[in-house]
Amino acid sequence: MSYLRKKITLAVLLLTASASPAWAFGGFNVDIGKVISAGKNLTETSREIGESEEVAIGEGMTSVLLGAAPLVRNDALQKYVNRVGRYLTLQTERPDLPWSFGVLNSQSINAFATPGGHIVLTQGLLKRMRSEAELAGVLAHEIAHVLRKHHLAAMKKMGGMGFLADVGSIAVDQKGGGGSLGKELSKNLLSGVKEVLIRGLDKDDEYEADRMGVVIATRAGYDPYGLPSVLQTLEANSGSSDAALLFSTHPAAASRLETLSDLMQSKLDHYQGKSVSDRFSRMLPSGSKN
Amino acid sequence: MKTAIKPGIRSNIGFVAIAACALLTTPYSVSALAESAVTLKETELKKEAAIDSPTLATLPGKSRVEVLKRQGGWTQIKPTSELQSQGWVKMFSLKYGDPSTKSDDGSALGSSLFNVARSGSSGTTVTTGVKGLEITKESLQNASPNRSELKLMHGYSVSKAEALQLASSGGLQKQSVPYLGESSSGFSVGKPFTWGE
Repeated sequence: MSYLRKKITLAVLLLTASASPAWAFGGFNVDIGKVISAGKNLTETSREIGESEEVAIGEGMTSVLLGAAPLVRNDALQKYVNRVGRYLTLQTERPDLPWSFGVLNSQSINAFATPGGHIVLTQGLLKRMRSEAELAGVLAHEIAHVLRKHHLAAMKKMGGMGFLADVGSIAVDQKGGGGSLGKELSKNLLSGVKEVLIRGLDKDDEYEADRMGVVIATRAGYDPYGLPSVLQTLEANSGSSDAALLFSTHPAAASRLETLSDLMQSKLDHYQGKSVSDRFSRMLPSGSKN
Repeated sequence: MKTAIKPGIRSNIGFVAIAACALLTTPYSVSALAESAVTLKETELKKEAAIDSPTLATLPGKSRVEVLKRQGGWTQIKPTSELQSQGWVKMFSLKYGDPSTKSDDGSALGSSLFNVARSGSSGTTVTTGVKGLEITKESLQNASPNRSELKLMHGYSVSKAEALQLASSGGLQKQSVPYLGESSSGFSVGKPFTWGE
């Protein structure tokens, strides 16, 4: 690890010093030419993005989401969602990430995972849920995106070598400056995380997060059908403008339900789980402060 | 919570708030209410929520039903003019939100949450806070990273022990369940992730 890291850092230092990587998204030009020679080094040596870089990218992406909509000012609710989410993560292969959850003050219907374990959902989605099992189903879907590093894969696909170079520069910063906390992402990475949020992930990654999510929730002792139940609610809201971004970045709810139906009815039917609807209702009381 | 509102604009605000309530109101609630759905295909109506329970009737596809509640993979439906028996169907056999029958009557959750509170004894509903912001492609594109909110969010993180306490008080018990199916991305689930070719 350390030897590999040193090699990567060296490659990145050379790259950032000499080439000013200008990877970009969407309709912008990707300045591949400038990074191609150093890029060859990177493909040979950087097979893995470190956890601290992953977390730094996730914090940057979460900051953008929080820039679009701040947290709901309800400490009890935020703590509750963190407890449910953190418990779910203990059923996964990455229990020791710095997991953190938040409810955004937005009427939009959506939930977002970001690399390294930061997950947010909107109050617009939360108030359409009926139980803790439904909340768990949605959080577990998002947790699966983190486990499988779907966003990093999407960013690499969009940004290519330039992305890897920029990620490498995070590592350089961290070595020199004691961690990424409090630091802004570079301009390139910032536009990259925005592009991923706006474009969404590969459809296959969404299906994978669905089938992992129902298992993670079931492992935790929840009713396995929480996530499909929310998908049915989403299907019923498919004409709502509040769900416009969600539907433009995800496969149709009907397709997701059909896929889960085939998988779940044979494999998860015999698991007994709890819906925990009473506690959920108490946590979303009337007169909840804004 | 009292909110001072000039009389002249009270009625307008009230109207807007009521309209907002109708929009914000979830079409479903935790407790019983009339949710409309249609069957996606021919569906057996079971006496209990179990595959080996007696079949009460066979509903053709596109049957309109009224939903009572869900239990695991089963949804309880109530009798209608076309259907005499109450019973259970597989949850995946239903599609919600048939627009012609959509009800926007109040639910237990929607009208009372977050942005909306009852004002005084009049029962007039007014918005007491800024309505939540929209998260759209445009708002994300224009968003400036908000590090102070990130710090606040970190403050809500909980320990493993706190998480386990929640599970325990909710009577949640861990179960061993393997992941379903194969990973479509070509990696086996659980294997450390590396950048592929």
